[in-house]
Amino acid sequence: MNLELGITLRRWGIAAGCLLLGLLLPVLASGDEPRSPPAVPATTSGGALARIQAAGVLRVAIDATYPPMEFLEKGQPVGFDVDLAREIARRLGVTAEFVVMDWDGILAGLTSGRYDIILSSMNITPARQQQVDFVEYARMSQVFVTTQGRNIRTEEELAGQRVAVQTNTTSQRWVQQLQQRGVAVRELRPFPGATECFAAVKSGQADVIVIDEPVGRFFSRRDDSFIITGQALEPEPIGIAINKQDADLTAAISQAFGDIQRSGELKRLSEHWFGGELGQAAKPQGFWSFSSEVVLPRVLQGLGVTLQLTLGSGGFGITLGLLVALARISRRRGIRGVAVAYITLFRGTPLLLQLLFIFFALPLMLGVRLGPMAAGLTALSLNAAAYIAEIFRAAIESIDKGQMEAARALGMSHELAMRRVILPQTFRRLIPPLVNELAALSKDTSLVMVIALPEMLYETKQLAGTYLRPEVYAWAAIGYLIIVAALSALAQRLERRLEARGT
Amino acid sequence: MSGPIIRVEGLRKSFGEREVLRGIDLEVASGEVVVIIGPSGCGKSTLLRCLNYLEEPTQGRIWLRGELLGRKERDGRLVSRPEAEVDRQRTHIGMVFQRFNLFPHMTALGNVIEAPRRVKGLPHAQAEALGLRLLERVGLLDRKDEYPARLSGGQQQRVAIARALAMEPEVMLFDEATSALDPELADEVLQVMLGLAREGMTMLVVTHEMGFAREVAHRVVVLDAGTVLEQGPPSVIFSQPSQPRTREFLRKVLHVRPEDPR
Repeated sequence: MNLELGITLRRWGIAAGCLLLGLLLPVLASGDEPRSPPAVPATTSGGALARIQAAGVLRVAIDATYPPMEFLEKGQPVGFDVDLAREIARRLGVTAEFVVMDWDGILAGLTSGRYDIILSSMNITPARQQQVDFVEYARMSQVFVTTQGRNIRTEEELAGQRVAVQTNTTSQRWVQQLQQRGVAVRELRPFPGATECFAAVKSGQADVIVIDEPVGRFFSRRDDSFIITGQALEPEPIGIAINKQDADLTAAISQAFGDIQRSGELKRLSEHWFGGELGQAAKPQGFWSFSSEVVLPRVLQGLGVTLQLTLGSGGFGITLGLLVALARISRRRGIRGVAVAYITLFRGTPLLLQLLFIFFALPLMLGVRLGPMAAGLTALSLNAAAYIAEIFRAAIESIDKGQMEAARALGMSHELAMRRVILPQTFRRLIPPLVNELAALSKDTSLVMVIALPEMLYETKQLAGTYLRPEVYAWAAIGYLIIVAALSALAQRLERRLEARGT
Repeated sequence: MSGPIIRVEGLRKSFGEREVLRGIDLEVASGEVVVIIGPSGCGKSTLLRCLNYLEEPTQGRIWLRGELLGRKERDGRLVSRPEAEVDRQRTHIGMVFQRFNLFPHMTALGNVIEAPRRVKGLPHAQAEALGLRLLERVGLLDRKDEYPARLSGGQQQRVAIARALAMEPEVMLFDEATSALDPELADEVLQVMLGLAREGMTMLVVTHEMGFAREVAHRVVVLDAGTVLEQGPPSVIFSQPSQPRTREFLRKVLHVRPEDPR
């Protein structure tokens, strides 16, 4: 087997590295995110509304872990907020398109222009008002939810309890204020989504949840082991978040909402979503039928995304890693320096940070806005390349010096000798560490859930939360095991073939 | 044909503080077999490696058929040649290493035809015909499809010689080509070298095989501490060396006392 690198190795260094990235980024950027209209800078003044109407699409961010406000049913967004968004879009003469986001990143996504509005039961707080404008559309109070047999009615009775809340919510802030006032909460446990809060109480990881009332009621109806035992706070306003520079959009939405209110549409929506018939205890389903009807279709879908990420970033990572490795052992100091800096940067910072940086910070700093798939692939590839570069370097340096000398003595150039003599000899010793790296990579792909890319673990987590059935995680575990087992099997076959050759 | 094929003038080579070659002057005529001997560490290997520019000399000049090796004159000053030119110059000089250095991922034939194919751009059929001819010449035609791991040391070294010959060099350098081999395996390699010498190949041979030197060399060069101690026909060097250090060295390697000069 020969490695035919379709590149001139002499000029690999910086030029090739930059070229590869330059080629990679636009391709990725245009390759997915079919949901977004052609990129228009978020800061285009005087014309958010015109832009939306020209595109015919209003991009709405939701954190889909919040039934009955917004959640996924059979993979589709549904809920009170979802219907409200559709009504508003209709009145603007466009259709609503939903971007499912993690709650933690939802505001950053708005300010970096990934979508036009957030309609996701967001409490209007002074801090948030400094960043974005709001159109108030409801008031909500908070309730205590716990399991049968406990009774936590008042603030004081939270003392000594482990309290679950969703991070960065009014509930969390409220419990923190209680603590400052001297209520001895045993532990405050912030979870990324509402559904995790319920899962936590159900599995005994927490005692009580403080959460928006409709959500608490929804879950206590769906699963009768939960009961609502108390109420906290005066009702607080929630609103539609819009970028400050899009004043025209804010005005139009405010008007559309007034219209919805006056026409009685809002009342109809409330009755539908909060009226009681919704979320009535779904008939409990056995593990196997639940798995085959509900879980497996979505886990398989997620598996597809996970495979795409693993193979895509594995391929790019190996290509880029080889280039970085060659730069790293270059005879030119400048090129070596660039490679060392690259490896230091990408091995020295967490992959999660790189992912968040590429997704949220690049749009603001460089105007480079990558969709979730492109951002995920880019971060995973760049990160993997740093590790793979060191694997290549170690393998190249382990080849006897005499090989290069013999090749050069025959008149072969350095690059020809590298391509024909040195690199092919590294194949067999590359396989074990590369498989190791790819196995790690296949599991690191689960980190992209923070940018709401629906890979396998994300899908499973959604299911576990929405149906309050954490046992579905077993399916994701099996999925990852299959990927890694397939990788090892492939590696073994390859190794055996190379062994037959004698190198 | 006039003039030496290789001319070395004032060659010096240092590795850091350590000066290994301290001013070597040497000429090799076309068709001449020169055996270089001397105690270990005297710079024999370094000299050979400088001759095909695997090591860059610190000082001095080397000419290959009148062409300056690794450098060129521009506006009366010496500058480095571009690497591609040095690569081309190397193709005229074949080298055989102590540890063979065959490419383990290629068959015997693959090793021989790799450079003609990739460096000279010879068509496959032509390269293969050349490769088969050379393998036959070193007596290994029947092993052409074996990978190096399945060949004995002597066989590997013979393939390595065929590989070097495939570039049709004007000079062959042998760097202790038999030191890593058992005596009987060394012998089959020495037979191939002997054959080459008989055919008129210009050879520079670093070796401890004094029998070969005595029998085949036109000239023996004794190196000591990075300089040429003395040189001359083997009959003179082995029987009447003029330098006491040469006598000392020969006594050690031959375990016999050469006849004392009168």
